[in-house]
Amino acid sequence: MKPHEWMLFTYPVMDLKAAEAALNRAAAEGWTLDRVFLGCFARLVPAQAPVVWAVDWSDGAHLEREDYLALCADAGWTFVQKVGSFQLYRAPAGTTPIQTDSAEELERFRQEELRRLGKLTGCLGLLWLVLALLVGVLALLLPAGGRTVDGLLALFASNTVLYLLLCLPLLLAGLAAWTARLCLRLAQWRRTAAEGTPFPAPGPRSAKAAAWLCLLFRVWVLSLFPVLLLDLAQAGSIGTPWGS
Amino acid sequence: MARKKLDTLTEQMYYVLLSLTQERHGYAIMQYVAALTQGRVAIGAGTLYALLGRFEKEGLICLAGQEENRKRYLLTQEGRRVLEEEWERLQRLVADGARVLREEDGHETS
Repeated sequence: MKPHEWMLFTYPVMDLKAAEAALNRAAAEGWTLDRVFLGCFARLVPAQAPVVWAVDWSDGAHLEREDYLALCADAGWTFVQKVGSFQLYRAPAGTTPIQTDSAEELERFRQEELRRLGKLTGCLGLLWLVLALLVGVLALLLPAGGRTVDGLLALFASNTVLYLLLCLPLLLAGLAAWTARLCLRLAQWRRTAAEGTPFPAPGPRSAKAAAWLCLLFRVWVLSLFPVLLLDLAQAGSIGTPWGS
Repeated sequence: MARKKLDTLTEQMYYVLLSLTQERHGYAIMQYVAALTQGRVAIGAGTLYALLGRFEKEGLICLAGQEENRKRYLLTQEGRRVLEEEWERLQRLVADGARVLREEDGHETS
């Protein structure tokens, strides 16, 4: 057996069951998670004993609750790592799952994750609204000219804003896909909660595609930094010649 | 769907309240329910934690003590009332079912 294997671990928050299923598929093949690096790449190592994995979501408050961790530990679950919204737990094979009531699990997701996502979406929406307002103000003031117009034109002529505007169609498409996936999951979870059955795991191919898209989004966010640095350099904030 | 008001209890809720007729901590509740139901009902740690939080907020249970991050809970009077109401409801369900099914058995044998 190889000393280790790597697995992409950029599942979006609504695909936590896919993340759990991926870890358990690896466990069934004799691998266990060592660690997730950079929140993206899971390193798997050969398992010493049969294990089962659980992926729980939380706003992090649960990790500060020592009694929760103590209860999980008593029940056989060892907390391994927090990766974004996911908390990864490992237990000997055959241990009772951490979540056994899909209605309670759905309620917890609504109370913790949806509120957090709502705030995040609200902030992003506000940013885009500010951008749209600036575009509107520019359009109104452009015929008159003046220092305000010059300032706004300089802002929109910056590499960062141009890059954001160029990427806007792709970002909106990504946001639409993400929202549609979240709505689909919520509908599935409501149905399973009403039936009293466990949440279904998304298909591996669909989950992998979503994970790749999430990775691409993270790469795009990183790509903003060199563009921003370029603007700062051109504005003269950095780039003073050495020795002067 | 999760119930906002605890008017009827799920099976897991019922067994958690039943186990707290005596003072118990979380893992002891899980073990007691598994033993009582001979493994039929298994309550996960995360589910139990959420249920205990809800019950405490609704006043059905109270914190009886704590040692080394393990909290012990006990049923309150309100919790006992809710539990007994649920037990009576289940009794009525069973009695109605028995009447109907016994009638059917009676018709089949006659």
